[in-house]
Amino acid sequence: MNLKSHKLLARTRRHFFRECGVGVGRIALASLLAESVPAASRADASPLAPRKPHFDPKAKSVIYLFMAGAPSQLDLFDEKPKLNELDGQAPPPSLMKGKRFAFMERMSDAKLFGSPWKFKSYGESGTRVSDLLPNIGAVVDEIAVIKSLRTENFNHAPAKIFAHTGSVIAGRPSLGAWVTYGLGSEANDLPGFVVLQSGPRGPRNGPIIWGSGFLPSTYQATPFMPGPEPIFNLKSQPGVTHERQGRTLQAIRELNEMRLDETGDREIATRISSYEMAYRMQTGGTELMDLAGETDATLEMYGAKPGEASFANNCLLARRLVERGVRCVQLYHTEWDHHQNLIKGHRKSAGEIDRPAAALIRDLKQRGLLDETLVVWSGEFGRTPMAEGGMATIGRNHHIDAYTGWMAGGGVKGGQTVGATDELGFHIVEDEVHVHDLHATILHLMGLDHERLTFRFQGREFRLTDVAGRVVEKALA
Amino acid sequence: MGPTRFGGPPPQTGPPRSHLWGAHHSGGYLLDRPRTDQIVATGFNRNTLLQIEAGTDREQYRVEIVYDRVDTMGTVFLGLSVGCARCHDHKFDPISQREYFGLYAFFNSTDDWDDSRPRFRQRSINNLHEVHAPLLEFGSPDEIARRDAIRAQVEALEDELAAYRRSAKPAKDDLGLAERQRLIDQLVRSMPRIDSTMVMRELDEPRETFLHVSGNFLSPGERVEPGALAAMHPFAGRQEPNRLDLARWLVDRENPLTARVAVNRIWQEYFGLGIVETENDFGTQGSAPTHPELLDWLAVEFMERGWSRKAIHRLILNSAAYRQASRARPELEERDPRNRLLARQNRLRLDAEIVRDVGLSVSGLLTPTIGGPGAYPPQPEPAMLASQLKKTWEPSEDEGRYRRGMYTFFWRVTPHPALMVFDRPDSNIACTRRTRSNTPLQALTLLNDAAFHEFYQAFARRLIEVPRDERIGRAFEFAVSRRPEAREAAVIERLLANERDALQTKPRDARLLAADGAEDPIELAAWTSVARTLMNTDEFIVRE
Repeated sequence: MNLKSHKLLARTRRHFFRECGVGVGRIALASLLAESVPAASRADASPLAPRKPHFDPKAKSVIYLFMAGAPSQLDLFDEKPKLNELDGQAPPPSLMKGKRFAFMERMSDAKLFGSPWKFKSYGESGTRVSDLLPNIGAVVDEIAVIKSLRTENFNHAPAKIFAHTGSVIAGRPSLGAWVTYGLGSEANDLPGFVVLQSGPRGPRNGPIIWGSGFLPSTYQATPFMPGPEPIFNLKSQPGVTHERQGRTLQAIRELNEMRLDETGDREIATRISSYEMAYRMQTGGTELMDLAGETDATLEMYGAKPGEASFANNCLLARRLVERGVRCVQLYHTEWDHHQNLIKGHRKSAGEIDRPAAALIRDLKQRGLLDETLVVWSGEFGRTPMAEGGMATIGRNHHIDAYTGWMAGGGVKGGQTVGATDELGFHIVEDEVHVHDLHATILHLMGLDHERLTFRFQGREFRLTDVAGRVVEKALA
Repeated sequence: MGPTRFGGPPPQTGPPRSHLWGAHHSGGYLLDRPRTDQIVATGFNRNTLLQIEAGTDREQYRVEIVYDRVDTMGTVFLGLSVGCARCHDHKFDPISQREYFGLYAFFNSTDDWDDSRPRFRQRSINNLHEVHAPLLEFGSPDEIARRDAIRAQVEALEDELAAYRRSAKPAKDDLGLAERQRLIDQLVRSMPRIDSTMVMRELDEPRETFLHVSGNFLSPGERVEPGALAAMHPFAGRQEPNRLDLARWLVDRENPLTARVAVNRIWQEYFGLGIVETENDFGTQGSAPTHPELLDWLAVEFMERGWSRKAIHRLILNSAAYRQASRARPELEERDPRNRLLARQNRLRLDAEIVRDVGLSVSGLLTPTIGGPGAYPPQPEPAMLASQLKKTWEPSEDEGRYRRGMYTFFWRVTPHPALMVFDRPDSNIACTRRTRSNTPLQALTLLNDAAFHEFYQAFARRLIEVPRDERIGRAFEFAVSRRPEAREAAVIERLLANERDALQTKPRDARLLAADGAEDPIELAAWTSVARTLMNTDEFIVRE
């Protein structure tokens, strides 16, 4: 209520006629039933109404492709000939000294593990990408690869919470919540922050990582489910036809207006606009999920099949969402946690994300949307240069000292690599990008200053970037 | 803060009829002869988040838990942002980092999952009880003994199985394996289920506390003894003070904060904002009270009435300030636009649980039972999908289906969507004031959710019993406790007429809407639409 307490307050009848008379009050039923109302004409009462950024944004929307479980940078982007050369040997003791790992007990006699995959140069930039990601390789000139990401916790749950909220402890607002809180949404018939999941299970922590923490719950993500009803309660109950819903809403609206007139409480105006938006969402949400209007070429490019709950479908949906003005889309792909059977596991997971992720970039570009859409790809940490397990089941452990992610689109300088790691890929040797820095950069591209985007809670101002974070200038166009 | 239950049976007195499981020491309780409800109440501090993921550094998370308990105590009881002093002296309030760790020391010697305890293990039965210990269990000694014996048997069999699997490649049809597995399954099925709750216990040997340099537990600084805040009233601790001494200090008559913070939060429930608006910051950065004398008086009343929260609720509810109308008044608009001086009441959207409660109550479906285990009202089917572990949600078919919202079982990872959409806090960190959002998802929930749809159908059945010409008036009385204005009644008349027309042409819709085999499905369905309309008005979910 912090944010809106001033709105709870009274408005006089006079006020109502002056302010709402031209705002909500006169958006007639015609517009309630119309397919779309421009966001600008929506009542400014809505907490999701678009708001001005701190400065001119480079991107209007952000799509975060989150690889839950932590992909191996060494097998996808960070090519290490020296590691291949020393495959099977013990790592230099200096690397391991004083290091703490998850599953510490398994790391005592770990051996170096060269990547089983070959790397190739792609595009004009000649960026090297592994054979696991040929399609991403083909669009690599749009991408800024960041090889020097770093995080703070080597367990999945806290590291995921950290990657999303800038804290290892649950309860802070997520990146998407902060962005939506800062900017509102341009979407007229959809939520401002949407989560799309694919894979065998939800990511660890579930809603905690896309929640609004102590921000008003308006800013939490709405997880979309596969199928024609992506949002809880989007479909009316049996017997409630479209016309019946319309008639009922008209009556609700009239009663609400009378009460607004009677009490002068402007929250009622917000309630009226919420109901109108809900009614539009019932159509908009269903329409969004219907891929029938997409051409075969588009479906083919993504590898999407209507009706499936796949990463490919979700990438296509992500494009459809930002097209409709949704501010933040967070995609989850599980599962990358290959302590064992990394060769088989990574081949499968990479195979699932390579084509759709590349198609998303291509598709956004061909529609002229890439300039205003930021696409981010990362896991919660990376994986060790050392092996885990014997040859038959070989895998890699969690690694937080250096891992790779990438950004593309709005405001990002593509076709380049930021940061570098040592010859075994263990430590960062150039341009460390801490998770707080990545967050600061994403906010910056959205037109938000991470030091000014604050919310007061438990007696102090909170930020996504806590007391750290600096914008990664090298990544910017 | 949220819905609180008052009343019900008095707390059980006499020796506890419960048993402590897994205490790693002999003593532990700070009161001499604690009652069961007192022991259960220690769960307030105990139920912090646990990080049990494989490979976890248990000490790191034990430390996080202690931080959380200290910060919660500061926010909830003192209204102070003590957490600010974890890494450095507080920038604004007189709380040094050393004092922070003085408070930390009180909470640092409790029995929690640490490096000395077994890791979490998932077998046929998991060992969550070892992770969660100490637990207060509510079973007869016989039951508990039987359960422990079965646990031991299963563990032994699992060990045998593991050894067996390691030793050689057993054939698929090996009886030894199959038989053991069958035995395990049988034992697991026969294991008695015993209710339990996590409780606080002190260790026999207190842990030493060191200041964490820059808030990093891996950089211990000087050693710190338990102690309170010097800027406040004196701490009358003994030689080796413990949490009980801290608790006594918190509720000392001389403590200037605890009672004020508590009554301020109760006030906030009824007026939207507290007398001190920053209910969690009574420090120098907080806002000044709007009615300082009132705050003082309420705080003293609270103490003099034996710290009875119920008494303060009653006092506020009977006050003239509370009973004012909430209608906006033009003459106040300019002088006090935020209504901080309370020349009138404020309209407040009901808390998430109570949105459900009013639906239950108006529809006549409410099960008024107090206490007992959690309830499972219907929820949209995919609500449990976000969970990493597969969990199910079987909606109660019995009276549990219609219990108050505060009894709805709460999974922190997959909370009931209808609660979260109306701003129920996520229960991860202490929350002293709820937000009140106003969103399209709330509208979708009330319009389309299956649980609410049942309320509308039941409300319609209730209305159809009312003589025809009184129905609209009674409908308003049931739903919003007042008679309708003529123009409001006209809206309903028009809706009814349109609905009857539409339903005449599509009687199938009427049967779908009216649910139960009604005598006159069209009339019942039309009234279902009326019920839906009234229960979707802003007024229905607002305390006016």
